[in-house]
Amino acid sequence: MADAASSVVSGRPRRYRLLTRLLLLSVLGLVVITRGFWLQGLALPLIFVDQMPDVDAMLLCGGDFRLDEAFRFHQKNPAGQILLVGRSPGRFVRLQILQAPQDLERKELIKRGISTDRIGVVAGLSPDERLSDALVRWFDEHPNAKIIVVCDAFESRTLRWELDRELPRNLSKRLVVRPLASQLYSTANWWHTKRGVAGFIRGWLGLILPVFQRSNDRRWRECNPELFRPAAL
Amino acid sequence: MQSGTVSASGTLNPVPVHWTRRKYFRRLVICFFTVAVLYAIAPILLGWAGSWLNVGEPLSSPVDYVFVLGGDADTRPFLAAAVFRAGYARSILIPEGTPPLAGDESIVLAEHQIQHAVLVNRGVPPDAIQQIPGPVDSTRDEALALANFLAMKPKSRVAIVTSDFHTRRARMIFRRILAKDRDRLCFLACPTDGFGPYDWWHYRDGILWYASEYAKLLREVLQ
Repeated sequence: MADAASSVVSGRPRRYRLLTRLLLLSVLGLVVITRGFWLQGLALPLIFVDQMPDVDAMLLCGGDFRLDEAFRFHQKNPAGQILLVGRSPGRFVRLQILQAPQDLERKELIKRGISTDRIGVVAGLSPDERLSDALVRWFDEHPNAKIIVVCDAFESRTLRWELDRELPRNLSKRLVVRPLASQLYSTANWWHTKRGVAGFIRGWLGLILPVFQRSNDRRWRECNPELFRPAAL
Repeated sequence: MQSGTVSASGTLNPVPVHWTRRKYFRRLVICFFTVAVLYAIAPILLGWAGSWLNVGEPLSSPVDYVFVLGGDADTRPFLAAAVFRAGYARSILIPEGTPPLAGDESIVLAEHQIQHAVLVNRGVPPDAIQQIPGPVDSTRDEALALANFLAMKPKSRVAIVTSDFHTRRARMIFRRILAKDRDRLCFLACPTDGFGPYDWWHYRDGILWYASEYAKLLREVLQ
């Protein structure tokens, strides 16, 4: 009697469970089959393209073809300035192992025929200073000037958000962001390369982390060279 | 779906509504407390997750070679140079990395070139640096390159230098590929710039590196 009753009660759940599993499997299959479509869709929000007004300078923040882009900009606007980001000298530069990235970029631009007076550096006064603080100083010296900022495509929205957050509104309006495509990947195939996956994750982390991080009080610190020996011996 | 208990006569007695509500409320409270406890102990858990990846051990006796894995060229070669200068190694091996992308040659050096420059700058004589032919693009490639090298150098011992969070996966891969020679290897954990095992989650790069390390470790375990 009890068995009959329990089969009456459990008959529907069993069918229901089977149906749920079938449905889940079909959804999973659909996700796998259409992965190209939605992976591409997931990358699209990372890219931000501003309207292109006439600008007076181009700031090279990143991107694979930034030097070519700077050369094209110079050809179109010979009076325009090319701005490099002045990074604080890292260990390699201090030990004179490598030249500072901005020095290498400057040399390469000069090689391409851009005169030195057209090349400037937007640099922080201290290693901890943000790019936005250096930009505020540059705008003080160049009132009414507009800048186009070129950067890696997957970091373009993060950069736009950072600039909007850290700069006064009247200054952030004078900046336009232009994403540069990578040599190795695009939104249509980023998941095929290591650099594409890293760029995708970095782009999303850049958008998500500021929401959760209360303050940026933890500064990037270089590891003390004295730690290398005790770590090994 | 109707829920309830079955009586002796086989009829279904519905559960009172307040019982179901109480059940959901209890579940909600448990969920809330679980989340609160996890949030409170998150730094401990994340710190543990970070330090678990580090299986490096300091060198107790000299080795023949120090093999510097590609990546983090601003720290790993410095540690290798410290080992060499302390007299714990005869020679330093660096793998031939992939060349820079087209157009970037003038502003970016290949990784082995940077490693070589750092080692020379830190006092390692150029003739004590050997380049293992490549190009290598992954830890697996590096393990295969070292296996080829060690095939010609029986009985030599190698200390492998890599970043602290990479030592567990590197050890797994090298021990798989150099199964017979696994006792000839030891792993040195190099501290990283910017973040460490106990604060990596505060930094974008820290999250990127530690999360991807766990993903790669999982892939390695499943293979």
